[in-house]
Amino acid sequence: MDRKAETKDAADSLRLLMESVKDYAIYLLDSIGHVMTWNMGAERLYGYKGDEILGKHFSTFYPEEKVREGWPDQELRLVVRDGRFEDEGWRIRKDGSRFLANVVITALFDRDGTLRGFGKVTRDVTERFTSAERALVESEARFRALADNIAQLAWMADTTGNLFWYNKRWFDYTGTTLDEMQGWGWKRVQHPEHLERVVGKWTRALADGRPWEDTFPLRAKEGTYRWFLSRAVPIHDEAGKVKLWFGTNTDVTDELETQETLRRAVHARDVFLSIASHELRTPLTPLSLQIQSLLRLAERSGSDLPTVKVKDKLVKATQQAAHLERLVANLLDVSRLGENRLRLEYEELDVATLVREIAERVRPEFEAAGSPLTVVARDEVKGSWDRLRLDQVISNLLGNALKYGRGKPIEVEVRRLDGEVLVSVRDHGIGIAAEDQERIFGRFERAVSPESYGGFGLGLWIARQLVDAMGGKISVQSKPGQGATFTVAFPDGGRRAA
Amino acid sequence: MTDRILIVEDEPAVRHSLRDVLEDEGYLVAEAANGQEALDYLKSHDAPCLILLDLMMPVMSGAEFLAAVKHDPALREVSIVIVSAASRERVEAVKSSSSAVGVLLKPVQLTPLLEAVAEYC
Repeated sequence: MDRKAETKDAADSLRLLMESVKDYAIYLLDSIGHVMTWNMGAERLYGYKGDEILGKHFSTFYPEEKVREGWPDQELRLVVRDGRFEDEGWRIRKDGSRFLANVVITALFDRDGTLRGFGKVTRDVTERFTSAERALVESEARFRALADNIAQLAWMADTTGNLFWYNKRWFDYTGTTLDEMQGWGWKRVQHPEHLERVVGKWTRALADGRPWEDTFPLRAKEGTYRWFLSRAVPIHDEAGKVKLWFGTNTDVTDELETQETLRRAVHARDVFLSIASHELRTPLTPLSLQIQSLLRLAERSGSDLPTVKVKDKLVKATQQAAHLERLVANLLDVSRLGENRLRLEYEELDVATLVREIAERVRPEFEAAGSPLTVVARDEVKGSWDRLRLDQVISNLLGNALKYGRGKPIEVEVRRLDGEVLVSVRDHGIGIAAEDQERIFGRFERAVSPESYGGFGLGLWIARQLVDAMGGKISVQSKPGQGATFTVAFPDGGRRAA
Repeated sequence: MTDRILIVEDEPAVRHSLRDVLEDEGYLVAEAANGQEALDYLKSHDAPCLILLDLMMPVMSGAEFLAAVKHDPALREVSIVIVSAASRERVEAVKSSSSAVGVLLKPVQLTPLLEAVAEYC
């Protein structure tokens, strides 16, 4: 037998020997840690068959927290440095169970010194543990399973406030690594505006040994922030000394948002109620003053009541009653529109004629306020419309024009353009800033302070709802100080066109 | 000082009804639709015996008018009664930081109105 054949025989025997060893896992890794060979002992110990594990990285056998710490790669670096490395620690079987492993890793170099890979010999030394120690390990494993699966982010800190452990959800949420988070590394996921307060309260809790609680935003890996209710309790040893701190962060963003929405809704309701009571009280003053002065007149005059004066007061009182009725009708509309209970009643009519009628009805009020009203309506615009609702929309726009453009002329125009009917109301009043032009169509919204201009803050909201219901669109063009033009556009012909 | 009453109120119906009932009683009445018009009136006329002042008004609100009057020695002495539909607490709060002498809450009743006017005019 020549020397080459002898060597080959010896290598084969060695391979057979290694493959048949049952109590030791003996296998080779390539230079970056992929499993290259697998013996019977390895199969028994880890539970993987050769074809399941060959080519996989050996970190598969390590507990998740060790992988996160980068321990498997660190081991290989130490082997390369020292040639050999021995370690004892927990490893994971295919079925997820743990065993305590004694591991010896040897670096394998070529004759020219190039790293070829590693030899790894592992055996199960769990039996060396007392049952108490095993119970501890199992309880630790249970703790980790629990800690990694709760909805909260969780962590532990030593008595100086250094955080040394985080659960999986912390890393999933923040996208950080244990290296970055060690000690006070958590400061980097804090919001800069809250950092000082959070550090201050945490430092005081550490000094007092009292439970800690705070609510603050934490940065997610996407860069956005969510709010967390955060608590930590000190864990004491038998002597009553603080041993470590256990903390959790519970995501309360949705709750806070719900609370905020609720708070805003309650505020809007309160504002509305105060405005509504103001608006309803205002016409009550002239109404009750006219009636009470009528009564006083009757008491004084006895049987010869001055007819002209009485009639004048009754007319004014009736006007105020009608005004009150309109306000109440507006409020009813709000509830109807809010619940989509609006029913439209269509009839054939000419929009130009309707606009002229409305203009004549309101003209005295406009003239008295120093706002001459011009109507431009050259064409007949016949179609199928809801007369009352169309009237309401145009009256609302005219009312606003007078309210915000008092003392200056106001123009209404009706025209057809590209298959649409356009009704525009233009004033030359205070105008509306660009940023308010969408908002003013919202319910209870107004561009100005209620201190200056009364009203429910509902006129444009009602107008938009009605126009929407009739298949049209409402828009505004305006600049502060340069008046405003509100335009309502309907399909030509009204419902007939739709 | 004249025996004229100045009504400062943006809502024409309210302003006119106040004017009507006061004129029925033989008082002379002047009108302003907001705080600015009232200041303009005061600059060009003798001081009235009483100002009936609404709070919520465009251009210059009642509260702004009160602040302007407070810093004007010539106007500080004029008697002002606030006439407002705001809540009593709000109106009292405005009154306490001003030189106003009285409050009438809307809807205004005839008897208290005439009593207040009789006290100053």
